[in-house]
Amino acid sequence: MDNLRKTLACSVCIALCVVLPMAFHAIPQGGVLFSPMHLPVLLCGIVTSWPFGLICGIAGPLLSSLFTGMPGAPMLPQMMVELGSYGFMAGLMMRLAGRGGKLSGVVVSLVAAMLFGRITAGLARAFIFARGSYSFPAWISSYFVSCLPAIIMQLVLIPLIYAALRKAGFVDRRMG
Amino acid sequence: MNLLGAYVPGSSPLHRLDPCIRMLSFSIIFAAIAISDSICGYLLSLAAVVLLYRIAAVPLMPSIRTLWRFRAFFITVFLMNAFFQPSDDPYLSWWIVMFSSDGIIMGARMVLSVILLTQLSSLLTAVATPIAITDGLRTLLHPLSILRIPVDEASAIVSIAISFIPVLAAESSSIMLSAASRGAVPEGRKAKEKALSLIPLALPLFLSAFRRADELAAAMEARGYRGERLRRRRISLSFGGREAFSLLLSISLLIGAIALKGVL
Repeated sequence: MDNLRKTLACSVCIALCVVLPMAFHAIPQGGVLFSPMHLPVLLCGIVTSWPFGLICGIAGPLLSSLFTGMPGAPMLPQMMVELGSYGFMAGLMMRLAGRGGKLSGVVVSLVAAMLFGRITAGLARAFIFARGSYSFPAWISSYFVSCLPAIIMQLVLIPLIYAALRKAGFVDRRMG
Repeated sequence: MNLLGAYVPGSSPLHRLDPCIRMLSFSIIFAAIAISDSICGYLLSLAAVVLLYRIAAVPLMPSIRTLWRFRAFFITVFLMNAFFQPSDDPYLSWWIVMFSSDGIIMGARMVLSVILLTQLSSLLTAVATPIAITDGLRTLLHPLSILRIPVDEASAIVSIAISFIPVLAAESSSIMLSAASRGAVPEGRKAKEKALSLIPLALPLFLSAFRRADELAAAMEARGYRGERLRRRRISLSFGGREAFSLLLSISLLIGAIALKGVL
């Protein structure tokens, strides 16, 4: 994938960060349960590279907040940190583990990115955004228990979407 | 399109502000609202938001009505804070659940901040076109290019993303309609079933989005596009009385919010 195609893939993933949650917010608690914004950010990191994944993770929630009001501004910095970490780590791990564009590499990158993003976001909340009022049970509850459907959905859907994109010729095999 | 803050054409002072100064002023007001933590601070922020809506001649009621649709989200945010906030003096404590007055206050603060900030971001998109917002951001972040941060590339990505939003929103609704016409979307059933039915929407939507990106890349290459670094763009900044007043007002609000921190 050349630089122009990576730029445009990153742009459409940012646009999807606004569009996908709009569909999921029609369901009560859809945004909280399914975290639809995570899908395009993780995919952007996997399909392009870590700088584009990072940009997508930062710009996606920012634009969504500006255009739809969600996430609300107090949650916006936390989400930017979390999603930026997802995009960054997904791209980095794909470079290390995903050579040849194997699906196993995609799954490894995905799991690593999801863990790294959650740990970074938890640390950011504990030491910056909710200093002194954030606890380990709150972290477990908000990043693993309440969004379990989102974790399952991401682990199933992203390899499927990646395989479909590769089959359609939008993703370069060499790049992953 | 289900957007909270669509652009409202007008000729108010907020519409005519320089894009960079408008972004800067709104950012300062965002910060002022975000740091408010007292009743007086929230009242000051509320007064500022209402005043800005009056100055911009943008009706407040439509955005309040749109906000009402997110009530389930606000209730969730409030309950998450009320039941999981650590406290020394809880009313109820069981496993990771801790219901306390601290949690209730934190939840109320969070919801109030979200509402005020959402109204403000809605106003920003009402008085500035997406292109003006991107231009403002690009000018505001331009000094970072000295540190070799690719500000122009990032702003190009954001501006292309903004132009893709209505296209992909229309695409998603047409995919949902075509799925419904095949009987694939169980309308009016349980939330879980509705959510599961949205999952098949993702694959065609991603494929369609990447196809559009590929087509645009081919068109740009055909026109000789060689990247943002090789493009020359003029950074313009007009600073007059209106811009000075806007900055003064936003900085005063920030100072007011800092002064009122923890007062009442």
